Amino acid sequence: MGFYILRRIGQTALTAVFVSMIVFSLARVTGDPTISLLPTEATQEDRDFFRRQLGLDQPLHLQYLTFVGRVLEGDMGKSFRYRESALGIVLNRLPATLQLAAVSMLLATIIALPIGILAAVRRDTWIDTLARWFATLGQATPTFWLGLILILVFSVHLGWLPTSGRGGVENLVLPAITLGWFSAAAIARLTRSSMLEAMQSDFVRFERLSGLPERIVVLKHALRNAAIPIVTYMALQFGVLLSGAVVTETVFAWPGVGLIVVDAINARDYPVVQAAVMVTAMLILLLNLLVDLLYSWLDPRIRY
Amino acid sequence: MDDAAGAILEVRDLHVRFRTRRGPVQAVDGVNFSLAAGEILGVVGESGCGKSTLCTSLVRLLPENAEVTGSIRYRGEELLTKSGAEMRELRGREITMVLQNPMTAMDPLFTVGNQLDEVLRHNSSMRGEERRSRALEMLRLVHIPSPVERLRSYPHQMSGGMKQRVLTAMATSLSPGLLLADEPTTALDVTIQEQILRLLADIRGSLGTAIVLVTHDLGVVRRITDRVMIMYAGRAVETGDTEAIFTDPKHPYTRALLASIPRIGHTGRRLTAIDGQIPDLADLPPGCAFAPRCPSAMSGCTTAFPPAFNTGPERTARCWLHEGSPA
Repeated sequence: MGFYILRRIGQTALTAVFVSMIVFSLARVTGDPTISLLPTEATQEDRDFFRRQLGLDQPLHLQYLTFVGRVLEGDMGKSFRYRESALGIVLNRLPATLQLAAVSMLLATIIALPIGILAAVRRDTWIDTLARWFATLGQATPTFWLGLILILVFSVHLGWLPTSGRGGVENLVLPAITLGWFSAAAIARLTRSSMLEAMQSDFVRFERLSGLPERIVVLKHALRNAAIPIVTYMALQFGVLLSGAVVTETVFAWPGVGLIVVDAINARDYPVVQAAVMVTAMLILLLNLLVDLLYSWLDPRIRY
Repeated sequence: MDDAAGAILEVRDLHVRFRTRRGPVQAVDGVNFSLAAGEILGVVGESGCGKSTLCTSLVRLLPENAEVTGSIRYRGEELLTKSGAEMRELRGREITMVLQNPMTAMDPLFTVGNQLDEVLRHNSSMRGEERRSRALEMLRLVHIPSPVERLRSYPHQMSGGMKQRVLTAMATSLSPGLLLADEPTTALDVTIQEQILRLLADIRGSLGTAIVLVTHDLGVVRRITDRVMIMYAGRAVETGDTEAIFTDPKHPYTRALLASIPRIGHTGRRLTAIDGQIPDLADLPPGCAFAPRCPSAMSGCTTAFPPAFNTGPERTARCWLHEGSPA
């Protein structure tokens, strides 16, 4: 077990190295920075001097090592636009994104699990039909459209909730619903099919034969057995929510990482894009590591 | 037939019909039998003859598309009119079941101790310590070595035979009156089969539990059952004392089944097989369902299914050959 954890952490570190290489290369394949950073009338000497200053005259592997060294020190360069630490800008925005993603995930889970379980238990009844409609519709609704409709109904017409910005709970409601909607539908669907499979198992039959209450059979045994795919998928969805909040953050002007990435891409502010990619990638790696460790707790047969 | 007063289980005219897309399927068709306390009844037949359905119908756990009619009396009480809650009370406490495949019959995510404890907790008023000692006692009864350690094991850490013994322990931990064993040895090695059979016989001996043993293995039946019911296409074609049936089968199907058992010493001969195939339960021929495969079939066999004729003391056969014996 201890060995497994070490190996898994090693794998995560290795993946992090790959990610850093990709981030590093991204900045090198988007053209000569001296062209976009220096005025057009700059002389060749100016350009050479500038390259030396940025270390761009060094061989590529040395440039990479310098880059990694800086990243490890928390330096991912300065934003071209704001002349501030790029990493600082991203980390400043990170809590907003984390908050939105976490609340969306929580909302999605609270909605999806009961729906999925109920649909499986009441298979082929109107409850199941309704749940399947919810799952299909939820997955088919475009995020930006849902966000706009919610704003139209609850902010513009009813005036119950603010249209945009970050602040109290009332600011969170619409973005969280918008962002979590797809996940709720997808998790509900997976929970239903996972539960259906678990309820077909011999042990569920044996437990019923042994006089165990249906509540125990369904919520303790079937659900725990159905949990591994559900947990995996939830982690995956959380990653999507973290990195894919771009649309929702744009629609609701939510001051998160997604919003700043869109701005940075438009302004070709590469250090910020790099920092955002790096931070998000690290978060997702960490999330995956956690889920893998969770497996062995969920299923005692998983011993590495 | 049997003295109804001494019977723990009394099944009369039991019919189970499944509503399916292909139309109704008559899985159990007018079965009668009774079981005395501590008696072992073997239910024998080919796959798909309705023997598992019969078993599951006794505990009322058939899928929702099943219609059950007739009468199932357990200790004199009718089970078919009981509520879901009343049946749950009975299951695990009075009537229990062991399934065919021990490998999948336990929840892989919980320890053996946890699952044994759960059965006791939900079916009795025993306290924690009491349940633990009862669980240990049961594991010893089914000959599980080092039971204290076993309580902490997960199912995947045990062999198939050991799991079947643990499942038998679970099923008998509250001294049920009736144990339904649905092909309990089919998925096991021959040497392990023997152990499980001996275990079932022991349990009948020590707990006085009556057992319905469903199997297609005639060797198993002869070794431990008191009486046998031979099923064909959802009907009980012959019932009676095990020894009597094995030495002098009355129904042509029973004869054919017995003739198909391979015998030691009869080497170099082809195994006798029954010609033809078992009929489709959704599309049974009129009359006796075995008639198309029966070597003794007469013209009347395909028009009417015979009633149960008495062919000896406590013996019946549903075959026109025995017409004239009192029905």
